[in-house]
Amino acid sequence: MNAGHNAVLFEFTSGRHAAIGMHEVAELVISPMLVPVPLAPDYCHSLCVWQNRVIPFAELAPLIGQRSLEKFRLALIVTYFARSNGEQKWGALGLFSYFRMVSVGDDAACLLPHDSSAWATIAHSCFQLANENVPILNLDALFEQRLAFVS
Amino acid sequence: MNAAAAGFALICFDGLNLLIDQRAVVSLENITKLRGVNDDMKTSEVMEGNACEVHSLTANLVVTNKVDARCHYIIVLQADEHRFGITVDSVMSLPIQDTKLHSLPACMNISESPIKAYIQNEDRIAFCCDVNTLWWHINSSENRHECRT
Repeated sequence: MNAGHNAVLFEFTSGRHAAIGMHEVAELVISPMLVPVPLAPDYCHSLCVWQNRVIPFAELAPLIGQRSLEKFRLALIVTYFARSNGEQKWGALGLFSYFRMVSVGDDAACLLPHDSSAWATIAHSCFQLANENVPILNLDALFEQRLAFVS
Repeated sequence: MNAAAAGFALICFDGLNLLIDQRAVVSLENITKLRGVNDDMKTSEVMEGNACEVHSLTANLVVTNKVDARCHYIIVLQADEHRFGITVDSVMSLPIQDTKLHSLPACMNISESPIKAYIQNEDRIAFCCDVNTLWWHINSSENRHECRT
């Protein structure tokens, strides 16, 4: 691990990436145990059983009107503090491949992608990496409310 | 949830575990009691002697085209003023006074859904299902593969 790395970058659909803060990563789980929830939204369709906790499992692609790549192989377990009460919470993000760590500085800040109105709600900010605008997720916004953009 | 005082019936179908308030359970019948109304009404068959519609549901609570003959039982439920049955693989009584009900995460909570909470038993999850909302869900046309005429 490079001491300068402060973000985790992952691909959520073909050629598209999002990021979270390094401090928000709890664990990467291979072949997560998922339990589908009847009538749940497409982007948040299952519960994930992790370390005897039951946590929501989310995927970004349906939320912004993109197709998922394939069946999930990995779950990135993330942690955050709920804005409403400061309680520590956990969630899982579906990944198709391993994430990578990157260093992000203020000089890379850019506008959010324009392909979905969801980004304004579920992203804190955005940075440019190569030719891509990469949103940095707001996990509280993603997991602590019912979103209804596309799904 | 008040149902905890009376306990739940744990019903299973299509791989889904559902908890139903035991006070909403009218009876448990063998599926051989089903008789078809006619060939055009396969989603809504009627039981002999206790006329009510019987439905089969998928794990996502979608009403199937035909009653699932693989199921062994029909659980007859009472919603407000409506009685209906659903086919199930198994039923067991679950006195869960000591079991904790958990609300679904906020991101999964849909106001029209009969599923609002769950219980966890190690790796097994069962979802609490409100029978009145389930009846409305089954009878809303968008949740049926085939509408009645």
